[in-house]
Parts: sequence; C-alpha cells; structure tokens
Amino acid sequence: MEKIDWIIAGVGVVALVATTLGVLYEEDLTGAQDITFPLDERTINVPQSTAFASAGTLTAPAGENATAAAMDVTVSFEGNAVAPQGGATVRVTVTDPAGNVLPAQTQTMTINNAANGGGGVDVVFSFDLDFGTVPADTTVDDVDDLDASNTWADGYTIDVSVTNPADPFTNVPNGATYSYAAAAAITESYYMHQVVVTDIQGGA
Amino acid sequence: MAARGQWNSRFGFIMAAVGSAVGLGNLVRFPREMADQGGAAFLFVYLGLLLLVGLPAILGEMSLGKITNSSPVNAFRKAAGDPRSKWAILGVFGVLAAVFVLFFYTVIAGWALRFFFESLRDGWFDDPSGLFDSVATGPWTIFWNFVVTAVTIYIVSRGISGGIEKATVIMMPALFTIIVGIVIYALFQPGMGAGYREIFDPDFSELSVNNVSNAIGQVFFSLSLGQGAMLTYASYMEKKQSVTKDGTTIAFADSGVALLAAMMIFPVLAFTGLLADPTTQAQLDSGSFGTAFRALPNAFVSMGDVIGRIVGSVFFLGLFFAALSSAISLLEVPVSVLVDNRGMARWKAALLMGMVTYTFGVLSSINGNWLDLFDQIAVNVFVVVGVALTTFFAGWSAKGVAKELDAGLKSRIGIYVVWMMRTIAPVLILVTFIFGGLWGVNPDGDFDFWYLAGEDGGTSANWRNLIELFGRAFRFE
Repeated sequence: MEKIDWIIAGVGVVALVATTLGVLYEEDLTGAQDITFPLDERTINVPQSTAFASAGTLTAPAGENATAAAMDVTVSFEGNAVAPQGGATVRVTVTDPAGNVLPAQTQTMTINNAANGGGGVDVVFSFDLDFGTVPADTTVDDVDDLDASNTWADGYTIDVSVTNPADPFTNVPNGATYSYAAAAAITESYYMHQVVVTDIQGGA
Repeated sequence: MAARGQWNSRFGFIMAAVGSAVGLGNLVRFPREMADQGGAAFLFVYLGLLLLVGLPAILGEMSLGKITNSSPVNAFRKAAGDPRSKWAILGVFGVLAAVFVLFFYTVIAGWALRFFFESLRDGWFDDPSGLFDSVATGPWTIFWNFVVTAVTIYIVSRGISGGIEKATVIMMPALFTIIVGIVIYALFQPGMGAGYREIFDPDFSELSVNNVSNAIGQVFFSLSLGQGAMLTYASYMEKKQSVTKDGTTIAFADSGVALLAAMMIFPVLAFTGLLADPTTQAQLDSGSFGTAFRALPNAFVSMGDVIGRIVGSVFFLGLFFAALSSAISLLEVPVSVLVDNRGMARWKAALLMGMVTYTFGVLSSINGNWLDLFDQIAVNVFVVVGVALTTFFAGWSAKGVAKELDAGLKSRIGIYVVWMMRTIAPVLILVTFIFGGLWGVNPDGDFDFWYLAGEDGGTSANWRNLIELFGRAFRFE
C-alpha cells in the first residue's frame, strides 16, 4: 500500500472509533438542577380576645417540565407576646391542581414570653410534591413527550390556619399576626439545555 | 486540463455554482431576516450590498480560479506571479473555512433528510415541532450525517462533469420546481396576503448598523464566499465562458431563490393561520432552525393530512437538495487541493477529506455546542478575513483580473469592478468585521466590545462569543 492508503486507513479507523464513541455517548440527561423560588407571602391577623383559627391561601405559579419538586411553607409570628409563654397551633394543607388534598400537617409554634425575647419560633412545613410532568429517567429519546402539554397550568393551593395560644390569651394584647410564606424547590430536567443551537452564521 | 476535469456545459456550471450558493442561507435564513429586519427595507440594503460587496467579491474569486485554472492554494500563487507567494495563505484560509463549515453542514443536511423520510412515515405529524429536539443530536444524527457524507463523497469522487455536474443539473431544477410549486400553491390560498405583507412591507425604522452587518453576513453566507468554492468551481470553466456573465447570473439567481423562498415560507405560515400565533413567532425569532424544523412542520400539518404530507415532504427534499449541493461544493475545495498539489487520486482525496469532516461532524451530532463552535470559527476567523483579503488581492495584486472580467463582453467594465474590489468592497467587509466581529451590537444599536453575542437579541458575530463557545464545547456542557 502507498503512504496515502495508510493515511486513509488510519483516518477511517479514527472515524470508526469516533462513531462508536459518539453512539455510546449519552449526555447525562437524567441529571437535574434545583431551582428554588419564593412563591408568595400572606399574613393572618388574629384578634386579641378570640382564640380561633384563620386561614389564607397561597398559590404556586404554573411551571414547566419539572421532574420533582418540594415545597416549604414557613410560618412566622409577628405579634407582641408578653407572658406567659404559649403555643400556637399551625396547620397547613396543600391541594394539587387536580384538587387532590395532600395530607395536612400540623405543628405547634412556640411563642416566647418577654423574658425569652418575645416573638415566635418559625415553623417549617415540607411537602414533597409530585408535579407528574416528566419521568425521572428522561433521556433525549423521550423529548417528544416533553412538550408544552407537560406543563401544569394551575397552581398548587396552600391553606394555612392558625390558632392563637389559648392560655391566657390576654398576653397577646394587640392580637397576633402570623406571616407565612412558601418556597418551592423544583428539580428541572437537563433536556431543556440539549438543543443549544438555533441558527448558523456561515455555510452556503 | 482535462485531467483536472471541466464542466460539460455552461448550464452545468451555473447549476453547480448556484447549487453551491443556494443552501440553508437562502431557503431559511434570508426569509426570516427579511421579515424580521424591515421587510423590503432589508431587501434594499441586501441588494445594495450585493452590488457593492457580493458581486465584486464573487467575481474576484471566480476570476482567480478561471485565470489560474487551479485550486485555491495554487491559484493565489499563480495569480501573484510568484510560486512562493505568501498570498497562498488566503487559499489555505478558504480550504479551512470550507472544512470547518463541513464539520456541521452535513449534520444539518442530515436533519433535512431525516425530516423528509419522517414526513413519508408519519414521523412528525403527531408532534410537528417536537421532532427536532430528538433529531438535532444523538446516535441517529450521527447516522444521517454518515449518509449525507457518504453521498457527498460519492458524487465528488465521480468528478466534475461525471459527478458534481450530473447531480446538480438534477437537484437544482428540482429545487426550483419545488419552491415555485409551493409559491404558486400558496398564492391561491385565502389569507396568504399577510405573509406577503410581512416580507414586503418596508419598515425603515428597523434598519440599523446591526442590519447592515447582518446583511453583509447574509451575502457572504449565501454566495458561499470566502470558502474557496466559487474559486474552485470557476477553475473548471471553459476558457470561452465569461466570468462576469456567469458570476452575475449566479449572484442574482442566488438572490432570486432567496426571495422566492421568502415568498414561499411566509404566505404558507399566513394562510395556515400560524403567522399571528405567538408560539410560531417565538419559533421564527429563535432562528433558522426554529423556522425550518418547528414552525414550518406545524404549518404543513395545518394544511391537512394529504396536502400537508405532500408539501412537507417536498419542502424537506428541496431543503436537502439545497444543503447537499452546497456540501458537495465545500468538499470539492480540499479535494481539488489534494488532487492538484499532491497528485492524489480524486476518489482517495474525496474519501479522505469526507472521513475527516465526518469525524468532526460526529461531535456536532452529539452536542450542539460543537456545531456552534465550528460555525463561529468558520465565519469569524476564516470567512470574513478571507473574503476581505481575497477581494483586496484580486483588485490590487492578481494579474489579469480586469481583462478576464472583460472577456466575452462588448463593453469594458472590468476596470470598474476591479476598482470596487480595491476600495469599497474590502473596506465595507473590514468595517463589518471590526464592528460585527470584534464588537457586539447591543439591542440599543450601540457597539459594545464585551457585549455577549446572542444576549437579548444582540449580534451573533462576536469574538467574545467565540471564546465562550470554546469553553462550552470543551466542557461538553
């Protein structure tokens, strides 16, 4: 064989190896990146002399193509407790876009007396949400299924109810204000970043 | 020079050269840019730049090829009258530009071929805009790149008249028929008028420095300038052929096809009711690929089951022909150098270079960042500098260009064209290079050295972008 024939054979081998590696190469499309975003904030004012529950609603925005998500709901006390120390009962309910109510969670919020600095100790509720949009083992071959139909058009509804400390309630002289906020952490699938080229500058 | 090969007929040469020039730039990029950047106002700017820059540049490249009867590297040496001339580096630039473009061009041609076959077998009718996500990269993309490269190698290995000419005299008339057929079909559909208004209503407020930069880029892109293709094809012309006549014919045929493509795409989007659709607008705004592989498939589906399949399949067949004929001309550039300079057998040269470009095309097939990187290197490094200096060289240093341009003509216009090669054309090209390549143009129309291309609609020709792309590609993000 002439020298050029060896060169052609060598390039052919390289092309074959490149093809094999290229076929075997699979980008890790099942990986994920977490995105955390605040949802909303609300306050509930609980009048002084009444030990009762109040409720408000937060709504998560519509999103796209998440594989999994978690939502934290944080409830804070902003009142002016004096004494003695007591506990408020906080209950959070999450309803998914289809109207299914996730199991409610209840916690007791400690409200400190003045000697302990006053104020309440934040309570955090965590909910694992299944947005049901994209299978966790998504690969590029599944991209056909990952179109706009996988977005969720309706938000999750978060209901929070609070019962003031009952004994003795007069120690919250101006009533109590509880604020609560939710933050969602969404795991976004990588496939969104796969097609990066939208145009070419050169060619013919 | 029968050993080098020669075109059998003037028609064959013009079809091959038009095939080289007509590609994705005409069928998709030009219509989108025209609609996006002022309609008829952009067309005026484009035609002005075609006359001032594109025509002198293509005539310069073709003259060098025809005068020297040589492939790019030798052509510069011979035209300079010095076998050791440093101008030969411009030939190397052209070869590298062609090779770098091939690193991704056959991949895109493969997308078109895949869409053609998928349209025959229901591949994208259920999810017209979704198929592209899975077609763009992956093992099957490698396969279709292989198919296109193999076809390109075969045609180039068959020689000038026996391969390239035979293929292009079939493909180009077929492409023209497809485009005209769809244009006529659209013309009789109710509601198509909005498409014509979209492309022809002039909006001079859209014109900016960015537009001029884009228009010059489009001229280079569309005419296959700076990639050695026109020079190489012209080197196979018969002596009696006129560079000026043929070059002008090629330039205007190329622009004519681009205009026809605009008259095909936008009326189709209009009568299918998609032109006003925000999703379609977003697909159009996203670029040529969004237009060809997302917006148009949606339009074809909207035409109905039978008509949509027919129009969709012939459109993608036409797009494939356009891309294949361009890929053939690009592969011919390094092949001609190996045949001329190394005495290599044509089929061996075609096989060798085809395998090289295919191998790098595997990278473009598995990760779009590589495609982007090869594209930016070809354009920002090789094409712009190559076109400017080649035109300058043809005007100032090459011997016999004016005489060659006058050959076969009754009037002497060569000296005027050479004057444009010496002055207006290289200055405009370099201005574009400096302001479009080194600096970005931000959405306010201001030059910004560190403006990242592509950010918020800024110009895409920016060297910072190139550096970014290096990073992205090598990290395999």
